[in-house]
Amino acid sequence: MEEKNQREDQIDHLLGAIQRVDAPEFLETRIYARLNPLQDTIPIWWGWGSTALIAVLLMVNVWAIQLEESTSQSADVLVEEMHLVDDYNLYNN
Amino acid sequence: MQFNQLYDTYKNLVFNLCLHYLQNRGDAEDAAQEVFVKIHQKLSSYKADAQLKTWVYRITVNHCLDCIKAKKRVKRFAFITSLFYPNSSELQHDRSDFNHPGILLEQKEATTTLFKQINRLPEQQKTALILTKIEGLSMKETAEIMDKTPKSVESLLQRAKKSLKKALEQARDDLA
Repeated sequence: MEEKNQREDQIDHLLGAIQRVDAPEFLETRIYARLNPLQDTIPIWWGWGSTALIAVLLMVNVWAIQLEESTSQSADVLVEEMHLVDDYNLYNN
Repeated sequence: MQFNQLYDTYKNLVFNLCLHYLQNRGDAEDAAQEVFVKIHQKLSSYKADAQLKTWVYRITVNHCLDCIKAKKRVKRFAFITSLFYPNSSELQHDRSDFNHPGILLEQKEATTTLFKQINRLPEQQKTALILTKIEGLSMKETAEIMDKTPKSVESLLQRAKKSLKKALEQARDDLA
């Protein structure tokens, strides 16, 4: 019984002797970095602007490709009508 | 209360409580960081039905217990078999993780052994022991934090001490 009381006293003594420690200074920096993660990133309007610019460029490219195709088609028709195509047939049918 | 004021007031409380639960400086820093992030997120919903200090204690205790559970899950799936005793299925306390800066050098061995047994206690008993014996809170304050009656806390404390005494005796007999 006395030994058990001594053990209990020892437990209380060991736990009571644990000292308080100051929180590290960098902890505050880390916490605020977690709470404000967007401070060092690109502003959101930059993202929207870049997206719009890329969309415009894409549409311009598509329009240019379509224009080139239609131009080349009308050129083919003109060449054929004027019989300018290289054709080794002696007579035109 | 503004968050920065709250941080200045309770930073040491939170950090030390994390140390008592996790017994590792690095883990306690990570846990304290997460606790304050949670506090920041929940500050707008704090209803003042409990004291602010009690509320901060509750968030810290719950987070530390979650960290311990997560750590145990990781260890359960570990492939390092040398962590296990040959005759027991229990995980051995990894002494290399023990790094509590608040423990005096001359008491480190004894306190490390004691914490090894404390870590095996059920969550409620461990919390009652840490809050009363290490944090020095009264039964009433501890009961408010744990959402129990003072008598329940006292009962948990008695059971914790009984388990610790038995475990320490067993540990001493194993060494002999």
